[in-house]
Amino acid sequence: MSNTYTAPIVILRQDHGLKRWIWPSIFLIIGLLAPLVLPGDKWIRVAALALIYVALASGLNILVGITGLLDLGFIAFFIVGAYTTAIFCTRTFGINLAENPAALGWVLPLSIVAAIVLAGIAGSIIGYPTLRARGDYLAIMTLAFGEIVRIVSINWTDFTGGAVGIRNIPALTFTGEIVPPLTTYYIVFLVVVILVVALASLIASPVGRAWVAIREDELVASSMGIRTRRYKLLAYVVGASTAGVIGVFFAHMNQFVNPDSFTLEDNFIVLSLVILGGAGTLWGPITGAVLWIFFQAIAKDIPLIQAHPEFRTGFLALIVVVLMILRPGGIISKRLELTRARGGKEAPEGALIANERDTPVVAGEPVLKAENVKQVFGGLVALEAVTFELRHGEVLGLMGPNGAGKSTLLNAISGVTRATSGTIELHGEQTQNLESSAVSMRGIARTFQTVRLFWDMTVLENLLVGGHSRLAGFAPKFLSPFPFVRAPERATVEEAEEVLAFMDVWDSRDKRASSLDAYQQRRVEIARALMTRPNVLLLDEPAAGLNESETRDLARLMKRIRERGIDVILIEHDMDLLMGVSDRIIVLDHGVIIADGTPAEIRVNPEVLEAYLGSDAK
Amino acid sequence: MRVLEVEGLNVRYGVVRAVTDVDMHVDEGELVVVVGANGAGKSSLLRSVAGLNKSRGRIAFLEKEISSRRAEQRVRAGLSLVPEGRHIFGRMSVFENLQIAHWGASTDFSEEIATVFSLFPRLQERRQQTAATLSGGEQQMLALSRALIRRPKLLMLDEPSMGLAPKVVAQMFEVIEEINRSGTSVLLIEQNARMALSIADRGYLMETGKISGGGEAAAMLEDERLHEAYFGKSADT
Amino acid sequence: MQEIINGLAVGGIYGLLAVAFSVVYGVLGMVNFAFGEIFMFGAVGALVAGQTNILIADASIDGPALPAWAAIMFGLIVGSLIGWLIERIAYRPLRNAPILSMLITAIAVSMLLRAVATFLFGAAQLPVPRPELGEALNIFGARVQRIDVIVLAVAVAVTLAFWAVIRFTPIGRAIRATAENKDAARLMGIGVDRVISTTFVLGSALAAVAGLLYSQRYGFAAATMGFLPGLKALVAAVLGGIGSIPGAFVGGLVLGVSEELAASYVPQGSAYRDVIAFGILVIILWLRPQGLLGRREVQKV
Repeated sequence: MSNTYTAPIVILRQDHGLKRWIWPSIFLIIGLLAPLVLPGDKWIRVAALALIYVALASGLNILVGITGLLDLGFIAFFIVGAYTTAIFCTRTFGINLAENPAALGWVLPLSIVAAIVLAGIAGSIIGYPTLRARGDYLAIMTLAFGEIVRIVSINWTDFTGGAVGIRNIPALTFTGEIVPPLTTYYIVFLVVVILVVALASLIASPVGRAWVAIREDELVASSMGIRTRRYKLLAYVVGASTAGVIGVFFAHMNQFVNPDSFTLEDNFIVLSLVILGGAGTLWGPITGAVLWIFFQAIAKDIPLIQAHPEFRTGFLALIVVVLMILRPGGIISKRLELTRARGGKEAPEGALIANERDTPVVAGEPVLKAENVKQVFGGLVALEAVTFELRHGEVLGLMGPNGAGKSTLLNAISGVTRATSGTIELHGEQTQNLESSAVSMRGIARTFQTVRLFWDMTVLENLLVGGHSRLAGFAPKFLSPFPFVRAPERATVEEAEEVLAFMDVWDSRDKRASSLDAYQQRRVEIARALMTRPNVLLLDEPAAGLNESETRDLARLMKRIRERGIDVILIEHDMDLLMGVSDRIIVLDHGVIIADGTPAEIRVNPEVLEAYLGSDAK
Repeated sequence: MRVLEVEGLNVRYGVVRAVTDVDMHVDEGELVVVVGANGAGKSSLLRSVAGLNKSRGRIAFLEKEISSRRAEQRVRAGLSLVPEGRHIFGRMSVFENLQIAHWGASTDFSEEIATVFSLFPRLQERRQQTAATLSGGEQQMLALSRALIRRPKLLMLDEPSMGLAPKVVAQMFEVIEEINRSGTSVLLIEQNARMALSIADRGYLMETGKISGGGEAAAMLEDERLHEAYFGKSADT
Repeated sequence: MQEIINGLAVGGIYGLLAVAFSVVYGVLGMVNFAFGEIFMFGAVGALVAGQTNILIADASIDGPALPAWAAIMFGLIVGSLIGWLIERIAYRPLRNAPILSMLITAIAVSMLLRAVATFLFGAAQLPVPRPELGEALNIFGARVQRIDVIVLAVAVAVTLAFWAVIRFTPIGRAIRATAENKDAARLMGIGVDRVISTTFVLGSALAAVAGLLYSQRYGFAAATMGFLPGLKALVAAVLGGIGSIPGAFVGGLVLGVSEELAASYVPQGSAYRDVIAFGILVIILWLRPQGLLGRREVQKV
């Protein structure tokens, strides 16, 4: 590598050992000591309310910050939780509680479970259309759904007590005595700590990485084998359940619920807090929530704001507007860690683990077959009956003038678009109707014409997303943040390091993807594709934007990939590279294959010459 | 007179250098073609001259520096681009497309449209048709007409042959030649090098973001380097 | 019958506002939540301009006491001006930002405008003087308030006029061109930023007219009056397939009528009136994520 890099090299130091615990400890200590320092019960109540908002903001952050889905009716889930416990404690099990306050010991857990279930159901109702609807429609829909829940809570008098609400919800005690705010605070604090730890663990697991991948680039996430719909729905369910649980505790803390406790503006306020603190970070929404609640409590005593309570929301709104222009990242910009596992200190050898094939293939045997693949967009025919096969042990070059349909063909093979007609067979299995995540899981990986990395992740995290489908099965994935199931994660990290070493980019392991230079980006993208353990690798113009020496180096790497038994389809405009690397080349023009042969044959094929250079005879 | 003069032009997309230190020019009445394989940076060059891309370097149009001007101001000054992929307004009629193209021009619309229709009678037949329903060749005619209706001083065309059948391409090139003969300077970008060079006065060869050769169009047609730029150096096969 | 006519009048107001949402969405691909507040500023602006004495931020000030037509113009100008300003100040810097940022900014702008209005005019409903229009009309046996007829007529006329502007005038074509392809519009010599500004001003004027009609129909104006109609107009716009003018207006009418019918015929309907509108939206997006009349967007790779 002879060229000089101009891109800034930002090394995001992974906080090792004790350092990792600095931030959590600071927040924990503040949370534990705050009520002891604060003057009087009034402020302890404020602090407890702050905790409620911390949980709400953290829950909404899963949707807005982590997964990139907007929810403008988030408070609805909170309402569901609060009313669930209110009705349980005053109606359903009211008698039990009246007889024996200790019954709260089982009513409360029951309420929590019910709140999780109900809020989760509400979350999936809201989340379901995300599978298909556009983001902005969805935002409106969440707003509408939030309003429905609120209006129902006001008007369904028999059930919710209407505007009066429900009173006499037991405090958080088993004895029936009056509970000092300090006790309530610590109980809520414990709950919030548990919630935040659970969310943080989820974020630093394959689930969290899948969410962030969806936020960063849904199409690529899907081509890495992530079932994006499922994960988006899961984000809604997790966010909703968090709000539901904290709603339960809010009801017990206040000992009453009524519709005034939740205004519509609260939806926007919580959203603003997430943005203000830093969406997509762990500590940002927490900081935002604490700052806001205390600001609000202090402001209450200022006469001007007493006369004009709208100043508070107005002020918050103004900050958000200014922030979006000047500092869209929010106050806290410490990047989230998406894995807890750590890489090794030295570069490994660079071994590639190949996908286990069900049936071994011999060199020369067809691996991938496309037959009469046709692709029509609107009235435009992009591909017209394309038939070819990729044989084991070869790099198949795919060339053709601009607009010939090369990328379209790659998209059809990788499941990004569905071919209008025709069949695509991988090892005898038809894949033309599969989603790209399913195609990926069957062993076809790809890169994109313009590099599409998850720019906000580190290189290692990018690769772990590639290994997503191997941390298989939902249960282990869910539990993988916990130490006793960390093994698969660690194994995947080791594999990622091998792949990085294989592609000669191991030293960039902990850098943010956006800080890499063009050739590093390319290699990381290929490495990420290799992490899915493909049998077939589709490369779309990997040399675009590279200089000569980089292109030569890339050719070396591609030969190395082929040697490891991975078959490659290569689209490339750099003919030195294409001709030098390909064993065979097919030429596409106007959606039709016009030539198929060795590089030497292609170079002198008159039809190819004409397609590229045009005919002399004018 | 130099209609267009580009000096030290650089275009970057993030960390990718699309165009590096390009110098080139178009003289009055000339038909200049930039040839080169896909991804050589031809489109980026053209889009920068049109003002659609950010770029560094000097761009002078009619001997005035224009690099700080916005795209629409460049168009109004007489610099028209027919973009790659045509970008006609598919939801509007042919006639509306042409009306829009005349936005803010001081010439007489009915006169100009008559000129355009005489050049492309097909468009006149289809004036009320929604543009998206036109065939590829007709869409290209429409895209070209939209540029011509302003009577540009310099007409820039980005791969007018793309996706078109060979016969239509030949027609297209005849029209371009015709336009040039009637006095409009033309800067043409083509992958279809032989045909483009056969109608051009002068050409540039572009490879990986740089101008790697150029000269009289006729001489370039004979040059071995042209073949190499497209199909690589034949040494290793 | 009565319900249908009431519904059409309300629906006309929603429809007008929905058209505003729709046209701005078409050009910028964003939902400008602040139209609800521009709607409010139109109504409150006209109200204030017509008073002899006004209370602004708790201070009593002599009002300009403009005649009705001038007060209405004032309301329109205030609404349009605010629309122009927010596009310039808040949205333009985000032209290339992700859609999520634009939506959040739009929500914050709407909150901010509501807070400003509450500060200036208080949180209470302000009575709006209404001209004496005379007896209710009898149409096919239904008692129809004259104001409803006027509201519907104005809404239809303004929408038609706006549609004609978009369809037949040069600026209308420029707006459509910008909506379809910004780069191509630039290559036609169109100043895209200016066209976007113009679209905001026109859309805001529509929203302000809708606000005026609303305050006339219900006899009040208030700082928070824009929120719910804004939300419903959005529902209407989605119903009609956001981006289409006739679709948005018809969506408004359909929504208005179904709300009125539900309020009368569904038990407890009036309490759940708003649930109807939002329920319709939720169901539609469940069944047809691209909206009732919307076209499916082609995925770009």
